[in-house]
Amino acid sequence: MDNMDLKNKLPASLNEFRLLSRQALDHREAFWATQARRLSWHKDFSWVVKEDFSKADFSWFGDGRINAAENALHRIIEAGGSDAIALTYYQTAQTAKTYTYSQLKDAVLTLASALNRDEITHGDCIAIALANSPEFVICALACAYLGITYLPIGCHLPAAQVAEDVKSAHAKMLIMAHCNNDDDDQPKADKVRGLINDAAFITAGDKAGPNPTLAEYMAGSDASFPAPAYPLSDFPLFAIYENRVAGKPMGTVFGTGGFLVQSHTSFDAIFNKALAQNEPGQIFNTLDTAKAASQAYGLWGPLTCGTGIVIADPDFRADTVDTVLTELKDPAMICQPGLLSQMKTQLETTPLQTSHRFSVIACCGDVLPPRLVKFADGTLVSSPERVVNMWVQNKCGTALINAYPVPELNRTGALGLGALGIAPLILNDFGQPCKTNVSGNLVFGTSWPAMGRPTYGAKKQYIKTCFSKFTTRFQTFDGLRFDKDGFYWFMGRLDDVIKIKGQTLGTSLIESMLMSHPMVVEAAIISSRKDAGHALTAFVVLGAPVPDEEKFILDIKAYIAEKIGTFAVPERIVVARQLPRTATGKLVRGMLRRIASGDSQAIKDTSHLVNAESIQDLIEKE
Amino acid sequence: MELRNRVLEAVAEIGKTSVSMSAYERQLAVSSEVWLAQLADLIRQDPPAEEMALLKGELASVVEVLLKAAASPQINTILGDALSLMLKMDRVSGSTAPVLGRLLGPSLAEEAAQGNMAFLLVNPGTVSTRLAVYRGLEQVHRGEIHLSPDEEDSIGYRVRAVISHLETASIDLGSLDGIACQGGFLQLIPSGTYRVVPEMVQDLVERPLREHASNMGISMGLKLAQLAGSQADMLLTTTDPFVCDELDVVDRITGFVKIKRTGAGGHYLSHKAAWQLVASLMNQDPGQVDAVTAHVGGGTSLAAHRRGKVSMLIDAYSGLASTSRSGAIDIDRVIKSIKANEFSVKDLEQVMTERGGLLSLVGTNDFYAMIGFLKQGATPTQRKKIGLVQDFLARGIASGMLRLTADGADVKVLVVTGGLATAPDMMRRVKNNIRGRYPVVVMPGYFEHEALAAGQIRGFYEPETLKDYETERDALARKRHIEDEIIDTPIFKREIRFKKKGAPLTTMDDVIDAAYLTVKENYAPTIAIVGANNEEAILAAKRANEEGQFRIAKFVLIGDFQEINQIAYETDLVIDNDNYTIVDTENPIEEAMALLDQKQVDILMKGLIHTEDILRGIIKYLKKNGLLEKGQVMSHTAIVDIPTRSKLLAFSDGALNTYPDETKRIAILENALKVVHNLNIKVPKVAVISAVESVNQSVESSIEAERIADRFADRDDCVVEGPLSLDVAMDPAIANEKHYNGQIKGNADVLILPDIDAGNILWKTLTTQSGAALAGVILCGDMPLILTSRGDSARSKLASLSLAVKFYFDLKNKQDATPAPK
Repeated sequence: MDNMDLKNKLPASLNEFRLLSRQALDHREAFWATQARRLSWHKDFSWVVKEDFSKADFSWFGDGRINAAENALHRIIEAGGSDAIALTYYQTAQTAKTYTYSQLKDAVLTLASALNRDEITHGDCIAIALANSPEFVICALACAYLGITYLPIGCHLPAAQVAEDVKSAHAKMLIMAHCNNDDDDQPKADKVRGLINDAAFITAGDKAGPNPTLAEYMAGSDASFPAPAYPLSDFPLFAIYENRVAGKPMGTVFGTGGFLVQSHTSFDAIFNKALAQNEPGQIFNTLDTAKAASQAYGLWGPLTCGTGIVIADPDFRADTVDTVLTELKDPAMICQPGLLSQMKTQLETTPLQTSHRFSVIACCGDVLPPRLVKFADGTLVSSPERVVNMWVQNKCGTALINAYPVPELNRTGALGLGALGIAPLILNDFGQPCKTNVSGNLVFGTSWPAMGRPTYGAKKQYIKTCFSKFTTRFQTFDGLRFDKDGFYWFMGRLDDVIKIKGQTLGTSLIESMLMSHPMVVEAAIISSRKDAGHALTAFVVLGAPVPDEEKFILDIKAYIAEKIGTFAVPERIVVARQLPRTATGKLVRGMLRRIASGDSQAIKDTSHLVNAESIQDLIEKE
Repeated sequence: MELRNRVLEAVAEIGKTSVSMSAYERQLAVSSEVWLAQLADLIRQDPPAEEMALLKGELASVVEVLLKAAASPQINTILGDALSLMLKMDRVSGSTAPVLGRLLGPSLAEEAAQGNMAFLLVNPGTVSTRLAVYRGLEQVHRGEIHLSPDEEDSIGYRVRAVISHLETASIDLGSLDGIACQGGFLQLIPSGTYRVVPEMVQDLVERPLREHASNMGISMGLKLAQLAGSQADMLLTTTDPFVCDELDVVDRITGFVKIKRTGAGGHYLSHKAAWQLVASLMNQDPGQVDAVTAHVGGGTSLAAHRRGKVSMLIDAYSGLASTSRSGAIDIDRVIKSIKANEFSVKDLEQVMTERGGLLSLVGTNDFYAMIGFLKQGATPTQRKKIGLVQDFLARGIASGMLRLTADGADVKVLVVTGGLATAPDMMRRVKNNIRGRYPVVVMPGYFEHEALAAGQIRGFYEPETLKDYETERDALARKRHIEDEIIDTPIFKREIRFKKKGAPLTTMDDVIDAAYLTVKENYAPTIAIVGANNEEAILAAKRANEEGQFRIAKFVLIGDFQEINQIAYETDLVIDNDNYTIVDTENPIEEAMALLDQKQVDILMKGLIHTEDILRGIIKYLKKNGLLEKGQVMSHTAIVDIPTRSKLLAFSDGALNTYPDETKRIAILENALKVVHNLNIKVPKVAVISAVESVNQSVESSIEAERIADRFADRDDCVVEGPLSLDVAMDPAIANEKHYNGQIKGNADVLILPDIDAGNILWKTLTTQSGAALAGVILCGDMPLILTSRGDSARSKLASLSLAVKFYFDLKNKQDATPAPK
């Protein structure tokens, strides 16, 4: 069981890595305990994990107590990193503002004492509606220092929604920037302020209005720094609201101990321990703050590893690349594949000036097609294996499948290998494990430290959505396959993802809600193109025939409106006798999409379906 | 050497033993024949009871010894005779008790004998209603009510007749405990005794398996019981009707998958009775006695009894010839005769049911009349014929019985019963044909009534053994349904017919098979689907590899990574980077050409891209690599498999070249020739089509056609004629009628159309109106491009793929054979 604490480098050969992976899984608790103890715990935990997936319950490092901010700052300073650069901010493509660990710590403690003065303490919640910026980092760290849960809110959300989130979280304070103003008469920040009555309102950036700016707020604190809080491991470090259902926001909370341990381990493994030399000293984080991946790989992961964070103003991200590469030594970058696409277009007209390259580029959040890797090879990185794919879902916290920046542990187009200590499972729709190269559902049978828990009141919906198809497995709604060497490949989403009213909603949410209706046995919600936008069509299979189908459809629409919201109500509901499936039980959403968009003439080939007559029935219902 | 000697030694020893054995066999044969004849004589004299018992005991002891002895032809023969004699002894007194006793088993028989239960038995036949009354084990009354020709036959009529008959015989219907009814053609059920229920009447009225007088039996029984006023008390049973079905699934299969057999159509009462009787005679449990029984009478059926079930059946309509039915006749002779209008299906039906067999052969269905005529009145020729007929019948019975031993079971005994079993000469012939392979027991006459009676008696004393009609019927239907699903399971989606290599390909299936053969002999080529984010193309690829015994090609899917993966997921395509690989690109055509250049890809297939775009790309590639010879043109050749034609037809160009000039058309012709040569058609007949079949100055295409034909006059690899009109090219009769003088008289292999309109119209007419399957290939220089369109059937797509694959290899092998220029 050597190298369980990953003090040494990761093995570069695939076979050895898989051996290590097997060991970590076989001794799962010992592995995670070792990882956890690389951080400093105020009170050591007496057990590693307790879980019961039949109830969707799990808990990591239960009785341990840990301060995230101390691990990110104090611990690094104590190890000699006081003057190391912790944070670099490019407000424009040319001008950078830097903080050393020591300076960052001072700023954090100053804000902490201001919060303390206002009696905002451990157990409270603060909402932060800021783009990625030093202010955000400082706020997040300050909250963590005091054991306050912080709630990153996306900057693009409309004012009403921001206010709703703040109220639902019972946030004591909202820190907001004047960003992304709508074309309204009133700036968004002002609108929001008008809607939240109890919470304090702080604006970041320049002064505009009567509320204090962050700078002003911090300036008014006294010199005494408050004592750090030591929350229990399960205490929420931060929460993210993902959807609004029945008027209420729902999302995920991440436990302090688990999230910190896993982001530290994961970041270290990918960016430091995989490389033989020239590990990145900084990571350029281009992800949105309201994403778990950003918190993991753009904040907690790097800081706890002593790696600096580089942030650029959202408008200048693409332009900043040249500067980042020139000024910093072997930086890494984490981004969505969309950014690479954007850069590809840009660099075709204006190529990079510098000859330096990123040490590692990690991609997450969307499919990374091989041609983008091909583009990055030579242009942004020195060799293709330096582009590392990561599979991170918001609810999951950190990457559970990822590649490493070495030739044998990376395969262009693949997601990568299961992260250490994690066992992904590919099951077919009948719940049987799939063979090599056969595609199926990605599920997990056991929890992991950073696994998110549903926000208050959302547990029932969470279980219905993620634990109903395979009852003791966490379903991700992603279709994957693994090849003969154990690399996982993404095949496709198993539900449709729609963007509606600023939120990204998976139709699986609506489907699981529909299926909790007593009459409904199966449901598929398909998003299809209609005129300029998208329309939702629901195909439902009932347990018993209904006498009045039209009335039933109206009932269903009312049901969805009540349970989720009017925005989720499908335009059409089709009652079918059965849904078309392949011989392996897969639902053929592509065909349903064509039927929904009226393009059923295009469906000529139904031979791979096990119930081809179902297509005929559905077409006739058109 | 050692082993060989041991073989010879063993044979010699057996030879020695068989010498002494045959002496004893002769002794056995002679003695037993005499002894049995003596016994038979004694029995005929109707001795008193004690003597009869002694004789029975004597016979039984010998039978016991014979049963234990190792079977030999002699022993089998004697055993058969002895068992037959035992049964004769039982029946000599005329009482039904001994036979019923055997059918019921000793304990039940005793109970019944003492119990004194009384019941009526009703058995409606075509011309009469037979009835009997039993008390205990004895038949106390027997009658036959003939139908009056004046009255219309109906249930009511027959019931009235029965009632009046019983009144005349002073039998009180109300005093009876039950009625045993002949079953009729209900729905299929396993054998056994059933309680009569109204559901049966429903099935007999609404959907009888066959129209037959016996269908009235159950209704009559119910009506009689109603009239007796004690319907609730009377036990109404039916036993082993004609529709028993216990066949094992192997016996249900025929050589035509759409026709499956059932067990209906056998004289089950008779068969079950015979089998139970012979087991009782052998003093064994019937379930342990595997036997074959033959009921030979007005109708003939044979049954194989295995572990208590009739697992194989030669039924009364498609089996042996009987006195009134033809039995099975060779299907090809029947079809030939029908086609030659020698007789109709209706005639055959009559022959099958009532005017065949003996009636057809000799003019009577009365066997004894025929024998009688043999003895006095027949001419020598007629005697010869009657002898032939007897041989024919005997051979049929014997071969039928032996056929029912061919499942490998340990058959212990064969039994012949029924009307014809009373003819000693016929039975002698049958036994001779069997030649001692098995003991043959003869049970002359009919046992249906005893069987029905036994069923009623057992039902009375052991009501738990009575079966429920609906339950059994439905359970059997479910079981058969599951079996049918297995029998109907498709193995190969496409019929794979074995064809010799090098023979001309005449059907679309030939093309597909030839491609698989070619791949087997070479290797699986790599086909690039250009623009693979297209479900139809992917499914075509998937099916091509799943159709045959092995994969036909490797596929490289060129296009958008994410879209292709999503389609692969939903179509269960296994991306293994070997059989299927994805190449991610935004420019599929460029990528495809690059892969062609690097020789990573052999053949191109069009996916979701515009045809013009890919063609442009290909031309560029060909030109760059100097692969496009001067004058070569890209053209589309279609291959059609028209159902009414015995060979394939090629035509060009219905898709690509719009209004080609003469030079282009010649190039198109050359391309079509290449494709058709690839179908192993050595000297194809090429018709250059026009509106007319001779040159007409006002029809431009006819002038051009003649010129084109001239250009190919000296070629020995094809026959090109033109102008021809389409009907002359396709229909020999019309070619003759129009006195067409060329070599192509309706048997064209290739049609060269004047322009794309003609070509496309021909294409669409053939596929929409004639049910033709069409495959196509675009030849670019010598490179095939697979092009399938949305409307193509799965088979057409597979054929297009196959055409290209075969073409690719034939070309490649030709190139490899030609030595490279120095």
